[in-house]
Amino acid sequence: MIWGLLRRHQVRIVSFALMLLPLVSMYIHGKQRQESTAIERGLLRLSSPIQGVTDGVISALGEAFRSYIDLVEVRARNVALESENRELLGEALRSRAQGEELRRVKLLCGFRAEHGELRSVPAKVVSREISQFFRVLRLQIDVRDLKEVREGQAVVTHDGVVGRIERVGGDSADVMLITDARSAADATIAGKGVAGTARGKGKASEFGADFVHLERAEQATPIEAGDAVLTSGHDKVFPAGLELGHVVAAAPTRQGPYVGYALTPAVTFATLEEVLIVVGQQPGAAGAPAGQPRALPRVRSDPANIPDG
Amino acid sequence: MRPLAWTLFTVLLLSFEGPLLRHVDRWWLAPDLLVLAALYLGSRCGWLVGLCCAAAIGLCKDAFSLAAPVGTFVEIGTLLCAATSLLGTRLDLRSTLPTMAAAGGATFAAVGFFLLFQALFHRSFGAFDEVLRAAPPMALGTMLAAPVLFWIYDRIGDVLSGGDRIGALPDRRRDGLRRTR
Repeated sequence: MIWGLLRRHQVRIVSFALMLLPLVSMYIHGKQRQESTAIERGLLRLSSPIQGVTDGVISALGEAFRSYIDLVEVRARNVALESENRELLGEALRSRAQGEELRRVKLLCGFRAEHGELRSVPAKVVSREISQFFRVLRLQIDVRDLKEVREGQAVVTHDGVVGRIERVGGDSADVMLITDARSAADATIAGKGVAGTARGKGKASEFGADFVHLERAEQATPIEAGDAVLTSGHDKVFPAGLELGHVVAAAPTRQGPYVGYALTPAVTFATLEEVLIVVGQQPGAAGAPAGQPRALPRVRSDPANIPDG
Repeated sequence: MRPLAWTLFTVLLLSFEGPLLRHVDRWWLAPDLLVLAALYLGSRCGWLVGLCCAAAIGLCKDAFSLAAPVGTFVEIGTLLCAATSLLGTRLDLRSTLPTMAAAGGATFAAVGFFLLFQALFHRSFGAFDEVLRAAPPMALGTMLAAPVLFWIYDRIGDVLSGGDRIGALPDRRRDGLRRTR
């Protein structure tokens, strides 16, 4: 009978229980107590592990998210730093190039100051001959100096002789290098008592010189490898005393009275950037006719241009 | 099967809620999951099943937040579920805006029940003003979350529909309950 009653009113009974039991629980657990009840302890035991797991999951996800954010920031910073690095690298390269240019310009200025009797105009190398048969450089000349530049004028640097102006046109001029097969310059070796002509062979870094011993003193002062070959100034093109090159080896070839030597140029043409075109002599300079450079003392040579041995 | 799945899903969310709120500054914007679950269960399940599930979720919330006397959230969940179930079709919990409105109202009701129970049973409770201040943003958060959570509940129901006919039973029970009343 009771079971039947319960079954008939189960919905009401359960509903009533679900409403009433929490009130009872609240009444019990709302009181001030010294220690937790069994229900509280049980719930705590049940809920703590679950919350521990979920907290671990949340923390791991949060950490992963933070790591991702950090990674994104790091990537953005990396991109910015790479950009900055490229800019700084460019600036450093420009600075280095400017420093190198400044060094060369200072050397050229030193050369001009040292040879104050020469009138020279600066020019910049803009191109090189692409033909294998000629050794020619193309120069760009400042417009202000154009009217002074003529064909046949000597082109020099602080290291020595580069060549001579072959052609002038517009604001450019072509320079025939001393290594060009068509090139020739009167030469001498200081203190050796020899005079001759340095001729190009069409090779990039070698030309030759045929000397005649003026005083027949070959035995006393033999020509040795590394001896500096200078311009003698007799050709009225190259000022005297400028370095043409160095003797490669003391193994001459003889042709009648001439003794031939292979030379290496004093100037490194491959890295040539700025040159001076000797356009004449300063008015009032003594020792040479007007418009012609007088003989010069031997130019300070760069040890780097002297071949080993 | 579906009410059980909804209950378990809500319990899972509740278990994540506490640890998650540790990392969130605006905790007062967190939705009241018990309120939403009670509304959904009351509208989708039968009377008895809904009450039982809501009570179970309330008990889990009691377990996860032992600050209130045990039974507080059981009672709140049960009452809200019962109210929703009694309102029946008069409460439209399938459209978005009515759902949000019902969620907001239910949140205020839950806060009211909470304060009442604390006043009646929890003598040491003194943060009535804080609870009142937190009620509007909490209602807002619950309103915003309601359509989303209901949509998820629906998808869970869709997945589990087929071999589950528990949902049909409570309608008959509800009819029976109304007849007996």
